[in-house]
Amino acid sequence: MTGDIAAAFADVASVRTVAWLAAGIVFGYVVGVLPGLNRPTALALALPVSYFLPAVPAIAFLVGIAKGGAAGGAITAILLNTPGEPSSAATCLDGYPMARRGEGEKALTAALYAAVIGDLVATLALVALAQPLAKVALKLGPVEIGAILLLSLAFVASLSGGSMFKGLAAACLGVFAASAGLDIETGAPRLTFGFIELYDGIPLLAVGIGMLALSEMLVQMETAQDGIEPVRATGPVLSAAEMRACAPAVARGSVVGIVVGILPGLGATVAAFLSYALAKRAARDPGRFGKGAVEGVAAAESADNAVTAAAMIPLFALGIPGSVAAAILIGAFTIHGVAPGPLMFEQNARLVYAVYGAMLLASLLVLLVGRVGLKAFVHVARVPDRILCPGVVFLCVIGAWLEGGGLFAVGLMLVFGFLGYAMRKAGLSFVTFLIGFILGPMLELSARQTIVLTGGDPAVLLRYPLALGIAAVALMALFYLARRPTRET
Amino acid sequence: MRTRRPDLWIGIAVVAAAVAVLGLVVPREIAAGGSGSISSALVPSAALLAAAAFGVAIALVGLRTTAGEPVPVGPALRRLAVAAGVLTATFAAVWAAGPVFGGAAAMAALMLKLGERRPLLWLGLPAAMAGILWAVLALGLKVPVH
Repeated sequence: MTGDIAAAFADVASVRTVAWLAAGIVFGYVVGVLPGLNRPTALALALPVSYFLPAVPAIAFLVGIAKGGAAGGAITAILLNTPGEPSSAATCLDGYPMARRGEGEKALTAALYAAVIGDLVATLALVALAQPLAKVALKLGPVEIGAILLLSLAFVASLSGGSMFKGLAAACLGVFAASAGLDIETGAPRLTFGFIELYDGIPLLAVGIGMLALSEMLVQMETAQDGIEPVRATGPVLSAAEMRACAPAVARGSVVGIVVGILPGLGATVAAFLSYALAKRAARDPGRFGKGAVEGVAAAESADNAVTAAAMIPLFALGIPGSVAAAILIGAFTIHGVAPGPLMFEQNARLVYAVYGAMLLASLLVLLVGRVGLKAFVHVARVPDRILCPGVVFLCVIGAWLEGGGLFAVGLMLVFGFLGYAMRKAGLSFVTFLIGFILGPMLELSARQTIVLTGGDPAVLLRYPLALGIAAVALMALFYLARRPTRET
Repeated sequence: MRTRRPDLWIGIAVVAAAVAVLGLVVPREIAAGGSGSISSALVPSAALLAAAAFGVAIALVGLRTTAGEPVPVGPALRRLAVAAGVLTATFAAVWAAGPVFGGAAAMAALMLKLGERRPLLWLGLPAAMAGILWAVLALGLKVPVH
């Protein structure tokens, strides 16, 4: 273990890894600032770059984008009242009023410090919790794993926004799409339509780029907007007394972000608003919130940024992505021959420790990039959609081509782009489809192993009380969530 | 045409698509397994059946919902047709000229369609991006881009 940690430290400390990590954070910041782009889009576009890099710089690059994007969303939220990321919407509530009364500099500083602290705390939680949870996961059998996968899908589908039944239908379609390729038992082609390119299944890159990036651009192009002129970031700096006043909100937000990040399907937006609500409730003068309370900015940003790292906990421990960003990271791991999950700690310990090191370093680099690059990032918001969206479409084509499938992969990406667009219009969650697509093979393997273990007799499942308990929790959660009012996205 | 129950039609569409794929595609594309082995069609069929069941649920919920303004169907279908046209044209450009130059052509065309009229931008920007990407991919990484 000491040898792995030392080797991992050398991997992270290399100039190449640090450079790619910094590049990812800068790219993430730019994406976070732009209201027309979001983190999943940027991660999907950046994933093809992984092919040309070794594992550690590749994953560091993607981690940088995820963390930079989370922090960058606050800039336009504060200066433009337009969240760069959906999860920054809570930051608008107090950030923009602060900017309007000439305290933009203070709001941005509070947001940055809260983001870094929330992210750092969650990364330490990842380091502390993932391996013990992975040891527990290794004791679980295929029946229990299958039940956990169903629970995860149920959570994601019902909490992804809008109708629960639409989320579940989308998840099932994602599982179906994942079954294309060679059958894992017989090796016979399934749903390949005669295309040899589909023998390895539908490539994640085509689905990810098409559904996340391309479909988003098709939606943005319908209402293409000019760039926006931000409020100037000036005014007094954050005082030591104000930092102390924000400390409880940041601590609470970090914990909220960690808990929400571990549970698949909830997402950073829920964490940010929940943390904001808790900070307001705990405040001596709740009336200040919504009118420019710096604690409101700190509470929202700490939770938002904590989710990014915390969503890696179920990914590392169980192989289940806690967020769309974590789902894209599965693609990066897979490209480098690593299957995320509990066995990573035994088979690829050096890579795991290197990722931990990269994530901790990223927390510090986000602070540096945020302080140094603020004025430049503000100008990025001026780029109009009529330039941004076609540029992203171009990058989608290049990204799909780079995957190696040539014109076929581009065609596949365009098909899934159209499917993602149609799903958005119909209110069917493309995020749930993607999670179902990623978890589909694991679900099928668990199902087959369960059938073999039980001999096809459902009564034998009674010998697996843990799995039955998890399945019961999933059903109860679905029943409870089905009865609540439909949430508007 | 307008509808007060868009979810009813979405649910029907999900059910119809799932049943059609289950009845027409799965038997053709998934071979029946040998005796003693788990059917290759088990999980795909189960997923489609579940999707159809949830589609019925969507339709039933949509049937009960009549609040709100009627949603126009024609513009929605037109937008889908426009999106399909844009993507087909993009594919044609890539097929004809490769990902770099075809993609650049698609980018220029989209910029024009969205209202960009400055030649320096709608010609220069795609050309610059194409040049940089071609240099990086074809010359630097030796990736075939034709």
